[in-house]
Parts: sequence; C-alpha cells; structure tokens
Amino acid sequence: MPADNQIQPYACVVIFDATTLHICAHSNNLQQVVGANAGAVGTEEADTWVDQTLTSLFSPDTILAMRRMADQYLPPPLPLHEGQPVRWGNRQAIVFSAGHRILLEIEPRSPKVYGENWDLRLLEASELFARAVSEAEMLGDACRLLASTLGLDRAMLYQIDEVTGDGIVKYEHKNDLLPSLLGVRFRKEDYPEEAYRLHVQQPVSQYTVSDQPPAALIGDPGEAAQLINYVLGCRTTYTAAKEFVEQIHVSTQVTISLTIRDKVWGVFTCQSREPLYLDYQLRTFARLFGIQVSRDLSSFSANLANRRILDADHLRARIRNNIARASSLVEGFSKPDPSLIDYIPHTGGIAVLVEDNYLSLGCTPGENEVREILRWARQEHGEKEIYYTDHLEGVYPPARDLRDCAAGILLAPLNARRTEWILWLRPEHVDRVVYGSRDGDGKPGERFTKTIEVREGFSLPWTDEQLSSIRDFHAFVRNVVIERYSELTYINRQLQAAYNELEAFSYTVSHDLRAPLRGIDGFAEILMEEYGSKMELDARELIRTIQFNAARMNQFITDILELSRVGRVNLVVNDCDVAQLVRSAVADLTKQLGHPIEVKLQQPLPPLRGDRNQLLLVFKHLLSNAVKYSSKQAISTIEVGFVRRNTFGDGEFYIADNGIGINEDHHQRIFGMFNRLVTNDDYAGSGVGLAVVRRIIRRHNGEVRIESKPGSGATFFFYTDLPPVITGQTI
Amino acid sequence: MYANKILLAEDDTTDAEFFQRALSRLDSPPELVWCKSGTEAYLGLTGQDDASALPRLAILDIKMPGMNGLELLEKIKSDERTKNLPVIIMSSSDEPQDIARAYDCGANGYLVKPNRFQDLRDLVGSIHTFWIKTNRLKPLHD
Repeated sequence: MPADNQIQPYACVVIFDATTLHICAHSNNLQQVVGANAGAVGTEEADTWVDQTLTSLFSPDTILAMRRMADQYLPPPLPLHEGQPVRWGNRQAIVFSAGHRILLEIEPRSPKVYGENWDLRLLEASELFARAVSEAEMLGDACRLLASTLGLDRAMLYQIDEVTGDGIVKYEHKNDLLPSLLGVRFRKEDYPEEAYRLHVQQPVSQYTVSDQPPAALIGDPGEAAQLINYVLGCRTTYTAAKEFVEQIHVSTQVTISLTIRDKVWGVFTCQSREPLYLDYQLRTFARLFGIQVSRDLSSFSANLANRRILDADHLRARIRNNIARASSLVEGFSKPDPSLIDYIPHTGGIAVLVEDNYLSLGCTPGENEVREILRWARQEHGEKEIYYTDHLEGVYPPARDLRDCAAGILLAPLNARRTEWILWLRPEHVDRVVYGSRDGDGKPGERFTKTIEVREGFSLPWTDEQLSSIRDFHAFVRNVVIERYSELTYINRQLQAAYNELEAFSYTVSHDLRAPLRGIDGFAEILMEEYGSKMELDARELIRTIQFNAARMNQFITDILELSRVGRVNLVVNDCDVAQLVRSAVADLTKQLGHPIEVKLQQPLPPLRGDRNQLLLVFKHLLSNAVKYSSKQAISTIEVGFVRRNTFGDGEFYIADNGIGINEDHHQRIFGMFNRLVTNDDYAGSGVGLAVVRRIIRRHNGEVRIESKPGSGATFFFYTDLPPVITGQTI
Repeated sequence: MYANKILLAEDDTTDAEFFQRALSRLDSPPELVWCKSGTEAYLGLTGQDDASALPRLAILDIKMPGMNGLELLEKIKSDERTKNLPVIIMSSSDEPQDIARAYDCGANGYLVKPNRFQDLRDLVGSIHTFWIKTNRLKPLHD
C-alpha cells in the first residue's frame, strides 16, 4: 500500500485553491527543484510556499492556462520553461481538478519525447498485432515493441491465473543486461489486492528507485488528497513491487495492465537498469498501447473460444447422437467413434456405473477402486450436482496409489438415488514450477529469490468451460435416462394391463371349464353305477379312462389357477425365518403325502425377505419336487441351506436333493408351465410347481436356477432382492 | 313348521342334476326346489305368505345370470321373512377373497363344488346331516 500523500522524489506537486489562487499544499522537494523561497521572510520559512499566492511560482499567463485546463478532460501538459518567476528547468505541469482545488503534477520532460512520433509507433503496433496469427505471436511482438520504444532492458508479459491468483511470466523480450524470467511463477502475495485495484484505475505506473526519500506534502491538500495515489504518474507503488525492484537490481519498473471485461488479465512488466522516467506523453502512449493489446487480446480469445466451442459442439453432438440412438446407455457410452473420452480434453479415462453395469473406458483404476471412490464420494459429496478436484489424494488418501489414472476426478450422479454415476478421470500432470519469490516466511531481502517446486499428484485443472460442457452432458444423459424410463414405465403399464387381462381370463376360463368337466366325470360315474353291471369289462375300462382324463384336466385347471393366483396377490413383505418356513412346508407335505419326510436344515440361516405365504409355497414346491425326484433313492437326502456370494452378505438359498437329477439341456425348460420331463405315470400334480416358484421369486425381484447333472441330484438356488421396507409393507 | 325342502339356485343344469341325484340317494331325502336363476329363487321365497312353506335350507351358486348368488344372499338376509333361513354358498371357486365375500354377505356356510361326483355325494350327505337333521331340533325363529 503506498504511503498517504507521498510521491516519488523526481517530480513535485503543488495544490492551490481554484478561486483565491493561494497555495494550499506542495511536496517538500519543491525547494530542491526551484531553489529557496525568495518571497519568504526569515530562513525557517524559506522552504515553504504554503499560503502564498501562486504568482510566486508561475507567471500570470501560465496560471491563466492552468485555470482553463482545470475545466478540461485530459488537458495537455503545460511546459514551464519560459517566463516563470522561478527556474523550473525542462519541466511540465499536468493539471488535475479536485473540486475547489487544483492539483499540479510537475515532472521532468523525457528527452525521448522530442524525437518520437508516438502516434506512428502506435500505428506500427496496431498493424503488427493485426498480422499476428496467434495470441503468442502478438504478445511476443508487444514485448519487443515496448522494450525498444520505451528504451527498457526487459519487457515481459505477466499473466495472472484467475483461480490461484499466482502469476507467470508468459512472454519476454530483453537485452543482455538483465536475466530472463520467462516461465517463472510469482505468488499471489506479490500481486496484492491493492496492486490489482491500482491497475484497474490507472493502467500505467512507473517506479524508479531513488537515493532520495519519497516526497511528502506540506500543508493541507484537502479534496486533492484522494487523487494523489491514483492519478499521478509519480505516485509511489506498493511494497511488494518496491521490494521486487530493489532485489532484482533494476532502477525502474514500468507496468501496463491489460484488462479484459474489467478484469486484470495480465500486466506488461518492464524494467530498466538505469533510472528512467516516463513523462506524461510516454505514459499516454503506454496506456494506448495497453488498450490496443487488451482489445486485440480479447478478440483473439473470443475467436479462439468460438472456434473451440464450435469444434467441441460438433464432437459432442456426435457423441450425444451415439448415445441417444443406442439401445442402452452403456452401449451408447462405449461407442468408439468418437469416444466419450474425447468429449473433454485431457480426459484419461471414464468409468460409468449405470443400469447395474460397470463400464470403463481408457485408463481407469480397477472396478473395486472405482467403486470405493464412488462410495467415498457418495458419503462426502452426495448432495452435490457435480464434484471435481485436480488433486484427489489431497481429500481421499487412497488415491495416492492411483496417480497414473486418477490424480484428478470429476464425478456426477445420473440418478436421484446416487446409484448411477459417471466418473471422469485425469492422470497426474507433474509440473516443475519455478517460483520467482518465496513464501511469505522468507527472510527479508531474500523474498525474490528463485525456488523450484515440483507439483506432484495433481492433474490438469478442470476449467470453467470444461465444467460447463460436462454439466451440459450430464443434463443430456439425465434426460435420456428419464425419457427411457418414462418410455419403460409406459410399456410396463401396458404390459401390466395385458397381464391383468390375461390373469382375469385364465381365472374365468378355469372356473368355467370346471363345470363341464364335472359333468363328464359325474355322468361317467353315474353311468358306471347304474349300468356298470350290464356292461362288458371293456366298456367299463373306457368309462374309467374318461374319468382319468377328466381328473387330469382338473389338475391342469388347478395348476393354472394356482399360477394365476401367484401373480394376483399383494405381497406383504417381512424378513422371514427360513427354518420356520421349512418346518411349515414339511408339515404340510407330510400331511399331503401321508408319510414323513426328512430335511436337513443348515443352521443358522439368514432371514429371507418376502411374503411369508408366497415363500412358503416356494419351499413347498421345491421340497415336494425334491421328495418326488429322490423318492427312488435308497436313502433320500434333502438339504436346505444358504451360500454367501459376496462380502455384503448377499447369497442364495438352496434346496438340494440326491435324486435322479436333470440333464443340463432341460435346466431352463423345467421352469416353464407343464413341462414335465417324466412320463405321465409319474405325474403327481406338479407340472406347474417350478413355474409357480419362478413366478413368486421373480415377483420378489429374485431369480431361481438349478444346478444338476443326471444321476447326481439337483440343487435349486434362489434369492430375493427387495429393498429394505417397513415391516409388513404391502407392495 | 318348515317343509322338508331344500332350495337350490343353480343355472347349470348338469350341476343341478348331480345335486338332485346325490340328494336322492339319501334316506328320506328332502324335496329339492330347483330355481334356474337368482330372481326365480327370490320370487319363490318371498312370493308366499305362509312361512311354513319356506325351505329348511337354501343352497346358492355364485355365478348366475341376472341376480347372482351373493346378491340373492343379501336380499334373503335383509328380508324379515327370510332372514333366518340358513344359506350355503356353493361355488367352484376356492379363492380366499370369494369365500370372505360370501361370509361378509351373511352366508351361513361356503362349500367348494367337488370336482368328482363321488365327493359331491359325500358332501350332500354332510349337508343333510348338519343342516337338515341337526337344525330340525332347534327352533329357527328367534
């Protein structure tokens, strides 16, 4: 922060009242410039002009011109070399108005002013920039022009990182007197808030090291005080800049800030070994130069951004098209041309967890590691629409081992339940950064010494543009998901309606079929009773055959009814005790078969979630099946148990028998309706049992399967997969 | 008091005939009054003032054209003259909700139509024993 009311000693300041023309204040180096105050009485007052009239310093013509200029915007400088009451030498005054006061900045004129046509230099710059094909070329030219035109030893472009506030020397033009600082990074502390403000208000500043102390004001500057730090070319600079200039052993530093959309984008920072003063004309040139560069820069970056956006849009449109036309999201994501990986530059890999499928593209960690990252993210950042970092291990230590593919991640959930995700991965980008300054804790006088830092474990950062296009993409995917989902629910509804109709149909038909069936059986029976004795044996046999077939048909109807009932009842979901279910089923079967059956029960068994009555039916059918097919063994063994399939406790229940077993070709067929694999004679009323089992299990979001080989028994595995619900909830 | 009669509301001729045949095999079988529809049965029950002409038992099929068995049951149970008449619903359905509905409507019993004639005969025998012979001992009026 520049000290209040101080200026650099090469210039001086005079402030006077616009009406009375009395001097209110002036810098304390005035005497050095113009000699002792001849009008003052006594030696003590010889160095002050405060309260004296302005005519003791300037001629009446000059004063008249100053008063006129005070009303102008950007008045020209006023030369002071002739006809003044004091000797101003080759100096000029710049007039600023501050309410009732008028502020004069009196500075030496640069010898260069006389030899140069600044407007032509500016035209040269402008033409040069117009020919530049890239931002780099333009800024390189700018550095060269600045150094040569202003007679500086080094001109660099210092670009400020919008995110970190650090700056880096991006372009440089220099002679042999000063070393190169190209590529060197400076910390945020070197470019404090104050400097930023100054650069916005006054784009051009100069600072020259002097053996003289800064000049302070004598008297009362009044309203003019607030102008001193902002409008004067001779204002002092902020501490970090002073330290920098002193420690790199230069005499003068000139800065020209480049602003794009009211933000400081970068600063031309130029140095000279020998002391150098830019007078008002040169500062004005520098300012125009800065404006020209800023404008060209902003049109360059706008063009570039436009082109990039257009290219990216085209690519994205193709990727989206792929996804929208694919039969599933996973298929759409995995299409190669163009790959989803190309969607965002510098993407190393993508992991997708969607529709119960895991998909990885490019370089990704293993599925387990990805799932762990997702679990962590769901816990820590589950509520965010999008989460990203360029330094995952900084927040998630296990990622230290995943630097080569997941140094940086960006992830976004695809559904509200946070179970479907897209994870964008970036590999480590090792960066060797040369800092031109130390951290704040450096010793005084050593601040601006080079330090080298290697940034490890970081990926390239996610830029705003990339983030917004990823957001776009996610919105798009979510729409696709929603569209698919609503389409699916529509199909589901139609399917359900058709299914219900079919249920109703089979229910009615079954009942209606029974009446004529009773007729067939009944009349056959009556025929037998009343006329049996008069019939031949063969005729009686035929009647029995009629009755046998009626009984078979009756069984079919019973089975169809049972199957249709399974689809119609509401499930009342509970965590059921499997041992209890098995005991009930065994008791029922014992009663039905008329002989005891033995079942080995593994203990303990986890609970089975589902509808108690329906699950009882499952066990009854599976056990009855096991009994039936193992009945011909010398010792029939039936076992009920549970096998764990993963670490989360998921697994399958099983019912194993040592019966005749089933050929693998038939493993799917057995779950169909009326697909008995044995002859009619063995028919014992279970042509539909396994179909019922499968229907029940599927209604419980589960699956049932068989493992069996002929002659070595059969094992039926099944599981249910219902969400944890409030006990007794009906679904 | 009551006539030794059973009312059967049944639209299916075959079922009715089986019932008749099963009944006729009993000792001293009651007379069967067969109505082919719910409406016919209702008119038959309410069309006469003489309470002693009411049957001892009504057996109703559920599925009938026009007034079905359950509607007929509700009418019987809400009519002062007939509300004490024991009514058995007989249906080929063994769906739990059908059974529950019948009892909700005031049925005194629910029987699933046996699929075999032999079983029907046994069932009719039980009905006769329980609803006719046993109930004859108790007054049917309040």
